[in-house]
Amino acid sequence: MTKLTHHLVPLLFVAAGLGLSLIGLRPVVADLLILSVYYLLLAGSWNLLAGFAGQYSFAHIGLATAGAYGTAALVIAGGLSGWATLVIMPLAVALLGGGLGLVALRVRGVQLPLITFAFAGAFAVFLAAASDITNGSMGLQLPKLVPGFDRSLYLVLGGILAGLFFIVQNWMIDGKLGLLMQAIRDNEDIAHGMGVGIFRVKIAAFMITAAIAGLAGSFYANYVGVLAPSMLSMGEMGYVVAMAVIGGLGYRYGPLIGVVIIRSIEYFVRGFGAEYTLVIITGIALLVVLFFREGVIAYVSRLMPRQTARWRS
Amino acid sequence: MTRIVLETQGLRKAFGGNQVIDGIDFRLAAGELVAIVGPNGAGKTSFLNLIAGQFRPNAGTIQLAGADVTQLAPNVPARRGLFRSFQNGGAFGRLSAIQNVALAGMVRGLGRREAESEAGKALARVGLSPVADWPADHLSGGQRKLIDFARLLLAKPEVALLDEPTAGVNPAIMEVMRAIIAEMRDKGVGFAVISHDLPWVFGLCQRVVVLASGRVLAAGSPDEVSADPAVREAYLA
Repeated sequence: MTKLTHHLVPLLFVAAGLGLSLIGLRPVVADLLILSVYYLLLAGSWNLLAGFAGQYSFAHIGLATAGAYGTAALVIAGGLSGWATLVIMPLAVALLGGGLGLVALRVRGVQLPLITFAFAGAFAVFLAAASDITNGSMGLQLPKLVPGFDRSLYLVLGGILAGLFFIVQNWMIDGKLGLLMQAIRDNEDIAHGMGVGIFRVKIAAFMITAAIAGLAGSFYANYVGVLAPSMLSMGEMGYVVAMAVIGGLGYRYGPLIGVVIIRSIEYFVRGFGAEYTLVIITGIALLVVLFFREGVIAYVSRLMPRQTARWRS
Repeated sequence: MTRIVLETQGLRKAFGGNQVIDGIDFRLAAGELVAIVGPNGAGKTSFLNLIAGQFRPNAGTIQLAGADVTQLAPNVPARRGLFRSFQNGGAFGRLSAIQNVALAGMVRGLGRREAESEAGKALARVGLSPVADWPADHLSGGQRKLIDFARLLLAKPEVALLDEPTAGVNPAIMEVMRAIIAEMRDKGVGFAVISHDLPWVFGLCQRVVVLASGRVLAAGSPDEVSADPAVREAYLA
């Protein structure tokens, strides 16, 4: 794939959002697609952080939840429009992510997953315990972006946000930051010895990906309209990680493939109930790990090395 | 008098009770090449790690181009003109050869496009143009060591520390390395080169420092240290 193709992908998503909004999809399919954008933003940004910068953070779903609850706070208590939160929350969550990164990114190896896991866990407990603010497991209700419930609006918005994600991703991976991130992922000591300001690069990666998670959370809140602490579960985090890994961690379009695979499976097995969906996805994840170690996209790119030479970076 | 680009005084480092560097005084002038030799475990790589900031010394000072860099993180001396190569090659496995080299230009402030263009020229110079787009993981050990030399060309350092650049590489590559080192040395870059290939490194250096047990056992011209009975006993015999 050439650089031009990478630049066409965002346009493709915007066009797809517009097109799908016009053809009158069945609600169940429209809901599936719209929520898939939420997962694409999360799995895609987690891939940038873990797959490209080598920082395995488990705070990502926590940051998205912060974006969602922040959106609720601004809309319900602050009286702001949902549209404004789509701009404010990414910035606010970037700052939150930066603050978390200042602590968490000073460590290496297994300590980063541990610290970020603890953050997410503590935040989940807080959401459930502070029921006078969050309404506990009863949840918070938000109005839709426009009165009534028009899924076609969210299809267009979803297409735009997915396109925006790919623009940010292209900018990162093809720019200076992306190369520095990948150097740190491959060998932090050597990158440091070459003059790379490790901490600054990690913080930048952490903040940008946190902003995307915040955007995902805000989109979720504005679309689903009901927020409960169950949004922040380690099962959800595992789900996001599974999408990135099954698709191909460290590959530009890995998470996209992962989201398509997992959300399709979910769609086709939905009759069996949520528990079975998780069992089936776990089974598939195990198969992928066994047979396509670097994810489905890596396998495809080995079959067609020439056509896919630029998929990774 | 020639300008001193690197100087260490009383440098000491211990890991637990193990004194790996035990008071090293060392000076390197601009355009000078000093060979650092000695038996395995003498502290040669640890000495480079201390200078480059990978280890923090317990005592002593390090001056790079007149400025104190003793307790600084490794990215700081690197940005002030210190280049360091690693014993096993310092390539980033999943990045392509050209990206690996371009990073050396980017930390010097070049944009990515400009750095990749310079990296292309540097790869041509070391003969790696055909594999410029290959991930470093797919390159041989010798080719990965050449990536370090292409980086050296881009980094334009004042001081270069090379850790066994010729270990495991064929004579043609050694000649490429020799030519680049000689050219940069003549332009005023100070080199400290660890090597066990004595004929190769003695052919390039003005001075030899022999380390043993974390101390300077002997220093002088290649002929002087080769004739030194203590050196012969500890290293050459």
